[in-house]
Amino acid sequence: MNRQLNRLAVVSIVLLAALIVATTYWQTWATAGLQDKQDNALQRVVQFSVARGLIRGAGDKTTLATNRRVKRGSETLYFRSYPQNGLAAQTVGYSTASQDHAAGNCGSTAFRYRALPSCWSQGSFCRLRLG
Amino acid sequence: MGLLTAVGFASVYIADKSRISGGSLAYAGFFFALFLAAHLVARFAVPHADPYVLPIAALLAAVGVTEIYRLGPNDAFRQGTWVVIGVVVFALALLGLRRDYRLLENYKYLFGLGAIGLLFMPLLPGIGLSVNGSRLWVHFGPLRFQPGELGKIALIVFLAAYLREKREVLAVGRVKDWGPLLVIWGMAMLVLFATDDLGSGLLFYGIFLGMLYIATARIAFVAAGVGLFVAGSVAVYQGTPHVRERVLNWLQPWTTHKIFCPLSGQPALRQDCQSYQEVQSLYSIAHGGLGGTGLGSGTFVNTSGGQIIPDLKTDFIYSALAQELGLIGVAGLLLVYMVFTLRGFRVAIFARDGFSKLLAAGLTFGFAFQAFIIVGGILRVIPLTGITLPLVSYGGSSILANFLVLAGLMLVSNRANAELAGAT
Repeated sequence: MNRQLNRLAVVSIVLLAALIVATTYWQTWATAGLQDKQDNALQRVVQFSVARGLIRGAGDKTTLATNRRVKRGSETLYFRSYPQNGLAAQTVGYSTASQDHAAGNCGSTAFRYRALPSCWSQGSFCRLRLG
Repeated sequence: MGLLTAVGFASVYIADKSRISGGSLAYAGFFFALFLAAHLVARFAVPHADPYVLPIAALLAAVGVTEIYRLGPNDAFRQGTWVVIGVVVFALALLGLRRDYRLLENYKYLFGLGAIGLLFMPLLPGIGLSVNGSRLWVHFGPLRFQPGELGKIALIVFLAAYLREKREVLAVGRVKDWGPLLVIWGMAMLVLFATDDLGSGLLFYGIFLGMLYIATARIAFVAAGVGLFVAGSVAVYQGTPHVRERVLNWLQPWTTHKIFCPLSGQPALRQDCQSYQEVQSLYSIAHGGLGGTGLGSGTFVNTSGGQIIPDLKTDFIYSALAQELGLIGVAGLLLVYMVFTLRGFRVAIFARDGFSKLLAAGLTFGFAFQAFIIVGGILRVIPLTGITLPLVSYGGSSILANFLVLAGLMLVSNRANAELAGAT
């Protein structure tokens, strides 16, 4: 029986080695392509894990853009908030929130910003004002 | 193992709380004490047993509990409780069968019928429970259990005993000796298809073919078995929408045009509907890259706090590990599975009698093949089927069954090594 056992052991090792090869493929060669997919929910969240800086107006008197820190489970997310709403939108940019409720969290009442799916596919932030 | 667990828990704790605390090491200390106790029982009950399989199993269980703790501390407590129960069952199995585990051979038909009974239990009204379309669970009040996990062990014991007894006559192809084998195995497969448990069906089929090859040395039987499997798969693909969906998700997880989504009843891209779980899992793996994000620093929830990948801690724990540990970490994890597999086959090779060889080989191949089925499904090597990653995934039944696998291997290796030492 030992000959058969040796062969089955080899088969088992080959199967497990195939998993290492497949993991290598997804974690190296395929990474860039997957990150650019527009349905990549994880990449969207990753954008919100970056604590972006405070933007102040002339003379440091007015806050044009700030972050709202939100704890989601064990993760900390930073949602961009624009206390002056659209006052300096052309200068400081627009919300990058892609989901309605996330945009609502930004505290904007007069303006609602949404990202177009195509923006995500290009891996860039959406800067289109839709509403 | 204790040190690695300590580092793992500390890493998760620091990433979460941004501070160092002795509390983070409580789990590690507990694990170390638990497996030290298991080691002492093993030294007493099976002193000649393979010295590597217990630490390897402990390492895999520790990796699992650490990742589950990172995903949900409450789940880690429950998983830890199951590991304790698993170690107790492991110790009882060693102590109860240390004199001669081969007495199990005398009850082979009981094991065969027991396996069928266990697999059949989820179909019983009243106690059977359907989760995610598969009827795998039974519940007694708040306690939920997956009896198929223990059914797997019972079927391996039956196959080892029956094949040991009939292997010569089976090899020459006497039809009447195939009867009991095919009836019990066929019933098991029937029940598995009735419960929609494709992962276990594939696992059992693989174990059956592997053990049949070891017993008879007839590669033609394996070829015929593979042929039957292919023919059966085509028939099941044609007739079962559940299977067809799994295969399509495997072949074309992304579509550029909308198709009918049975979940919402509306047209949608497949990646937003049926293959959502597989696709998001691949994104998670890809995000890990070479070195990973670090334990405790992965991204698993969306902006509203919901989990991006459903069933993350059970079927998809490999995706979480791949993101946080990266290629280096999960390749290391798979190497640990390889070492366990090689040690298991070494135990089988050094065993003296046919039953022990078949038992050790069946348990080991089942362990390795189960890891291949779930990780291969996640990585799109094969179609995805819901099954646990041995000793790592969340789930009490799985933990319990795998500690029995461990006990079986240690019992066989103890006897083999004792005989070898006596012979020299």
